[in-house]
Amino acid sequence: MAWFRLMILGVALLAAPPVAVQWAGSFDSIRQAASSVRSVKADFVQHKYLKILTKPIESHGRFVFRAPDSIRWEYKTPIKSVMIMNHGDLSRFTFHKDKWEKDAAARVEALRVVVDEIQSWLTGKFEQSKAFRAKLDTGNGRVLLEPRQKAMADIIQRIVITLDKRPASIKQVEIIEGPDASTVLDFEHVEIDGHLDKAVFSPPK
Amino acid sequence: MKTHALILSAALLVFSCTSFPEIRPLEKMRRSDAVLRCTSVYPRKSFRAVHTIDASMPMGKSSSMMGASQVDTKRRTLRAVLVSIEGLTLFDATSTRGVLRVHRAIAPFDDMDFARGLINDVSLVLLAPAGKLEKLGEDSHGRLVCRYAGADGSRLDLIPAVGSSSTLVRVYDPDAVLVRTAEFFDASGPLGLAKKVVLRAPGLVGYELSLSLLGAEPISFHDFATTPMSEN
Repeated sequence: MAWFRLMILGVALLAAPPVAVQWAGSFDSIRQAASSVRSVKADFVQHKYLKILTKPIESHGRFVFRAPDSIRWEYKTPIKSVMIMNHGDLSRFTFHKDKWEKDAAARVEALRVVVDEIQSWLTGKFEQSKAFRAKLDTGNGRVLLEPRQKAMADIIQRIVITLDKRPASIKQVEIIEGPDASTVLDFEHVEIDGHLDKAVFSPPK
Repeated sequence: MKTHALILSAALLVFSCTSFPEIRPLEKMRRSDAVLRCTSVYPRKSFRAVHTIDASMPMGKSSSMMGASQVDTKRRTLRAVLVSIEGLTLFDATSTRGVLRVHRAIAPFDDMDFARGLINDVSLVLLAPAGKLEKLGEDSHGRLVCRYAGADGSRLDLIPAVGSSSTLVRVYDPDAVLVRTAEFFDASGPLGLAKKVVLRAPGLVGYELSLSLLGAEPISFHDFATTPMSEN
């Protein structure tokens, strides 16, 4: 009989609605929670799903944000790369033939759209995105972003951001390109307002 | 004017004298054994693979990305997907016996000539030569060479590894000008795939692609059939 009770409990847990993220009742409350954050540090695991692969391509990295406009987005495996925005100045470095090489300015500018998006998410200003229209799914603690323009929709169909229970913290970002491809970023070891090394927004050595 | 004419004549003479590297006939080795050795860097079974790609371009530019591929060796069908470090699909195309279908291409990968060149390069690395085996023999260094003739008059020389050396692929255009080389290092990856391949396109606008194998696994025809390709 015990197994039957356990099974009932399991089904009940599965059927229960997800716990709403308290701090994310509205875009205003998200913005308010984000405004008090000075910095965020987190590790991330990126899974790239492709229909032709049985297993996703896995990448690992580290993410650092300092309000209002400094970001370090670093990939450690399988390719070493660091994108740095320091007070709005954007640059990217890739580890090529045993040394760090700075990307050409034109290519970096193409990434500015992405960085601007990330910045607007981290400051809770989802509604201010020029490229995406934001909808809040309060029941599931998610923000759904849909492209405003067809040109963007041809590249990315939608983005789903799952918010963490901790205020001003993002748990997962899912980028859906179409039926054949998507990318999921899971954030872990998130540290809010922790100590930041002085060199964190400097070029890699 | 005379000097110019002289330089032009000399240049024409040099180009007209260009010929495919000499191959001396081999007597001791059976043809089938030689072909088997030559093509050993290409898996016999269909497979999927993931690589990191490090590109060195002219003017000192470089770029890194990831590549996923699905290869049907019997039907000579290849699907290649290029993914940015940040996970965005930049390019997705299928080539079946040379017929190209682009499913997705984001600038600057949306140029058809670029797409053809890319698929040709990926084919060179992942698919055994399609041309007719024209000659078997040894080169001036005494290395085994399998020469394949393309329908357009091009030639592809395959020089298999001996011991710890690398396998070499050299592609010549119909005028016997070297247009591609590929060097396969350490064929101890899954399915005998090389752990590293360096492809070079010589010339003023030449480039180098260095592919490092992240993983590979065999697939069946069923896998290909159940992965319909969406047109974006």
